[in-house]
Formats: sequence, structure tokens, C-alpha cells
Amino acid sequence: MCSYPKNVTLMALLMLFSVPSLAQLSRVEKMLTHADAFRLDLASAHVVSLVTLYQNGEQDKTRRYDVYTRPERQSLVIFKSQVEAGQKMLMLGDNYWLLMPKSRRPIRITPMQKLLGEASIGDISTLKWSDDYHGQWQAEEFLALDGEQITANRLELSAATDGASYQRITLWLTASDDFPLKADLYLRSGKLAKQARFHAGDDDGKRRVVAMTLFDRIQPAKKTVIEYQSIVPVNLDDKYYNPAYLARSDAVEW
Amino acid sequence: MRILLALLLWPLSCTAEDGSFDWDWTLSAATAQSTDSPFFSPTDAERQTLDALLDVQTHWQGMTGRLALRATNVLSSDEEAHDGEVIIQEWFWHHSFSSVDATAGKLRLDWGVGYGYRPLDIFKPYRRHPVGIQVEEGAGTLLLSHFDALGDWSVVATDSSWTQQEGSELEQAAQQKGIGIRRYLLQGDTEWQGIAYYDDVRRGLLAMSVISVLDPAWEWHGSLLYQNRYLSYVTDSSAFAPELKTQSSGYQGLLGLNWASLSGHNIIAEYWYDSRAWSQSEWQNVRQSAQQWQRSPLAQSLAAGYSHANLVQHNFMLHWTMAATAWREWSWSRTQNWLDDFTPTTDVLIAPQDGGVIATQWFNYLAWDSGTTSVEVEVAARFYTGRSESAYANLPDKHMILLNLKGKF
Repeated sequence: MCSYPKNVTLMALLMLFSVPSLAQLSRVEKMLTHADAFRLDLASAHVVSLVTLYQNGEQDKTRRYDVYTRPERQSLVIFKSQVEAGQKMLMLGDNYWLLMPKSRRPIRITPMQKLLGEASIGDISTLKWSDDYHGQWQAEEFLALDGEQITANRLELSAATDGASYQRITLWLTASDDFPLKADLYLRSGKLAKQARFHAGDDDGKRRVVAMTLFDRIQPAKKTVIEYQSIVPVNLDDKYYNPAYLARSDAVEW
Repeated sequence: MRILLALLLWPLSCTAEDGSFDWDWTLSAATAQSTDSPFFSPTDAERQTLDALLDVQTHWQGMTGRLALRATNVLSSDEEAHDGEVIIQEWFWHHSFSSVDATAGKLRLDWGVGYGYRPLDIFKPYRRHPVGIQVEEGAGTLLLSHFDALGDWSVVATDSSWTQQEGSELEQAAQQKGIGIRRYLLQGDTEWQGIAYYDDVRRGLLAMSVISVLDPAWEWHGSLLYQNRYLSYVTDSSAFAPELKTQSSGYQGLLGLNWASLSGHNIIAEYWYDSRAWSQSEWQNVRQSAQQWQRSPLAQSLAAGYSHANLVQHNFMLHWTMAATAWREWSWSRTQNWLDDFTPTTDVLIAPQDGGVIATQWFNYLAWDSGTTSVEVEVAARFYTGRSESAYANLPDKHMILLNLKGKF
């Protein structure tokens, strides 16, 4: 009983030093929303991604994914490479279903199983950090990237959902317009898994992230390049986001 | 017949621009050792076979077709004749009307829930986890579905006699024609399914399943099925061999847990019960009779219980597989990049009623994958073992070892 006032004081002190102020939070939220818009500025979209995996500097394999995404963290991933043709993954928040090629049975998978699967799926399907992560501003830093000195804001993102591909992300955004520059991606174990570099390009007169290179820090011989080949507004019918329709959608020409 | 075949194969002759073609091929070399069982006549102690499969799936203007060209005993150590056949696995048409989706044709409809056994695969029995080449066919189906915000309502009519491959006497007799309704529901993290089906064999069937994700690592699933009538071999003291008879009130139930760890391990544990299978005492009776007729064709006719969907009533299965990410856990394997393409899998099926065990080990290695073509090497070994008097330990094979080469293009 006597310890109660002490605990309150301690908690108040902890909150004072660890929780960002509302103004700071809203500033970080704005930064993340701006950064997200450079990757995907549509609520519902069809994103075509080409993934090239390199090993020891040589091209190992390629993958193509068509991602249909809509609000509330709902995505349908169509695997388009010939060796995976017919495979699909449906993501409704933290619920996931996988349909294997030539199968008629969607398999329910847990968030953990999704993390253990093809690493690129998480990387291509998470196009909005603000959906999966809470952010905190850390510092303003000067980065030397491609021979340029850039003023950047460093943010610390922590996973807010069970299915987030990484537990923690350190993200650097340009101080001028919040364009994503690079990121350190950490696993739940705390291990640094990958380092990402974002590449700017022009898409119909708009500056956006057109590619992302992921350097594997656990297996340094590996590198993945994800190119966003096309992003167009598409509203799929609700039934495509229905797990019961997943096996049936095989008959649809994608 | 020729016109029908030409119509069926027509989309295959179209160019790539007209439709897509997904090809799979398999070469399967197997060596099997016979068991010393009172039920089966002794064959060669060891035999070797080579089988092959070419499988193609295509979509074209609402039509989906899947054909298989299977060659069995391409090479064989015994005198078994080689055989080849084209099997139409599926051929169906799908169309979305305003609020109803219609599917008609030969279709594999898989509503089952479970890894080791799926009681809700009610239209055609599917063989589970084959180690060699297996071609599954659909049933003649008309399916009408309405999808809503929570799931779907479906009305289905099926005819399972649309099968090309000849099954066992029980499978042939159990071919059914029926009509039913299904409700699928997703509520929060839980999926529900309820089925009511009436056909000319089971004369009424009620089934339900549930799948729920408990937390990021754990999932549980269950299935229950009641059928009014079922076909089963009955061991009757008045007849020498078990007779195929229609029985009343069959039950099946399955309960399973699935766990995955960050370190890359995935484990499934399942228990299921099938009242249609033989009990321990039924197996004991036929075994005692078979011992009198040691390995003669008469003794083999006693082993009819091996034709049932489940050989024993109580079944327990453990499944383990390791994802590529597991190799990142140890410093020695991190630099061995080829290990990312290597996947070990183990299944152990235990019959608690008689101590029988079927253990299967797979090693899969993705030898080549460019995105457009891939080649996988699989080594599989299946052992039928456990207590010497158990049903599993008295199957015709003692063990099978297979080398499978699989490709996609």
C-alpha cells in the first residue's frame, strides 16, 4: 500500500521521458504519411512488383507479384512467375490464407508462418508503414548517399500489428519532403536482418519510390531488388477479399 | 468420343496469347521392400519401379482445364506391364453473374480442414501425403455461390462417378450423386463451416469445421461429421471374408494444433477418430483367421479393412517441417546459401489402438529456380512399422524409398 505513491511518481517520470508529446506524435505521423505517399498514394491499387534476387553479385532468380491492396490492411497477392503460377496469398489484417498452385484448398496460416515464408512477400505487400508501425522521431542527421550530403530525419518505427514483417525499423527520411532514403530492418529477435535503400524516379511527372534494394545482413552474399513497375488505381470486387472465393478466383484471368 | 476429346483439348492447341499453361513434370524412382505379413502373398523381397507424370493446367475464357499424362512402370524390376493414360483431372467453367458465381464441370472441391486427414472432403476421397506420383480427379459438379461480407452460401450438386481411374471395390461402391448446402463464415480470427448434404450412398450427412488463430504462433482447427449410412467391410463369423455392407450412423472427428516458431520450425499435431474404420478387436479377428491361411489369396481377402479411408479408428499424427529461415539461426549454416533451398519434413502417424506407426521423411532440395523454370530433387522414405501385430506393420510394404525429380515450366 505504501509503495503506491512511489509507483505513480515513477510511472509519471517514465512517461515524461519515454512517450513523445502529442505534437511530436502528430509530426511523426505526418512524416510517415508523406513517406508512404511516395510509395503508394492510392487507397486501393494494383501494384506490379518485379523482384530480382542476387547471390554473390549474380542474378539468382526473379519473381513477379501483382498486389491488389485496399484500406484496412487488406491485400491479395497474385504470384505471377511461371514456377509459382496460380499461387495466391490473401491478407485481411492479421489473418492470412495461402493457396498453392493447382490446389483448391486455401490454407490458413498464422502471422508467424507468414513471416517464415518467402521473405519478399512481406516486403512487397507492406507499402504503407503507417498501417503497421508506430513511429518516433529520433534525430536530425547528415547522410552521405551517392556522393551527396543530405539532411535527414531519423525515425524509429515499432511494429503495431502481429503480421508486421519487421519488429523494428530505423528509417531515414529527407528533412525537406520526407522522401524515404534508407532503412534498417530488425527481426523480432532484435537481429538486424536487412538494410534498405530507396530509389527515386519519375512516374507521370510525380517523384516516387520506383525501386528498393535490400541488402541481407545475416547472409551478406544476398541482395534483393524490388522494382515497382506499375501502380494504378483498381477497386476489386469485395468477393476477391473473401477467403471462400480464393480457390474460385483461380478461374479468373488475372 | 473423338469430337468430345477434340473439344476438351482444343484450348491446349491455342497460342500462349490465348491462355496460360502451367506445366509440371515428375520422375519418380522407387524401391520397396515387402513385409512379412500373414495377409499378403510373398512377392519379390525388393522391387524397383520408375513412374513419370506430365501435368498441365490452362485457363481460357472462363474455362479451366487440368490434364495429366501418367506413365506407370516405365521401368520395373518385376514383370508388371507398363501403362500410360491421359487423365482429365479437372475441366470446368466459371462465371460470375450479378450476385451468384456459377461453376460447372469436373472439379476438385476441397472443403476439408486438417493436415493428416480431412473429414470434410466429402465428394471424393483424396489420398493424403503420397510419397510417389498421385493424380487426383474431381467430381462432376454444379456449384452456385453467393458471397457476402462474412463468407458465402453455396448450393452444390455432385456426381463422383466422373472418375477415370479405377478405385478399390469400396471406392467404386461409394461413388455418390447428391445435393447439399454449405455456409462458410469468417468472424474475427475464426472461420466456421457448416455442410448439409444428401446423396444416394450416405442418405444424409451433416458436417462442420472451425479454424481459429489464437496468437501469432498458434492455430487450432477441428472437424466433425455425421453420416446416416456408410459402406464398410464387416467381419462376420458366418462368412469367411469380410463383406461390404451398408452400415448406419458413421462419425468422424478431428482436432489439431499448429505451432510455428520464429526460429523456423512448424509443428502440427492432430488426433482424429473414424467410426467406419476397424476397431482393434476386428483387426485381431481377421489377423487370427489370416494366420490359418498364411499368405494365400484367401488370406489377402481378409485384409479388406485396408480399403477403408482410415485403417484404424484412432489416429494421431505429428508433422514437423523447417523453413529456410531456420538455417539463419546457426553461424555455420549462414554462409551455406544452398541450405536456403533445402527443406526437411517429417510425418509420424501413430495408431494408439494397436501401436502401429507410419513414419515418413522428406528431404527437398530446390536445385534450380530461375522464375520461369524450376527443378526440385526430393528424397522420400516411408516406413510401415510399430508393433508387429498392428495394422500398419502388416501392410504389403515394409518400407519405400523414393527419388523424385520434379519440375515446373
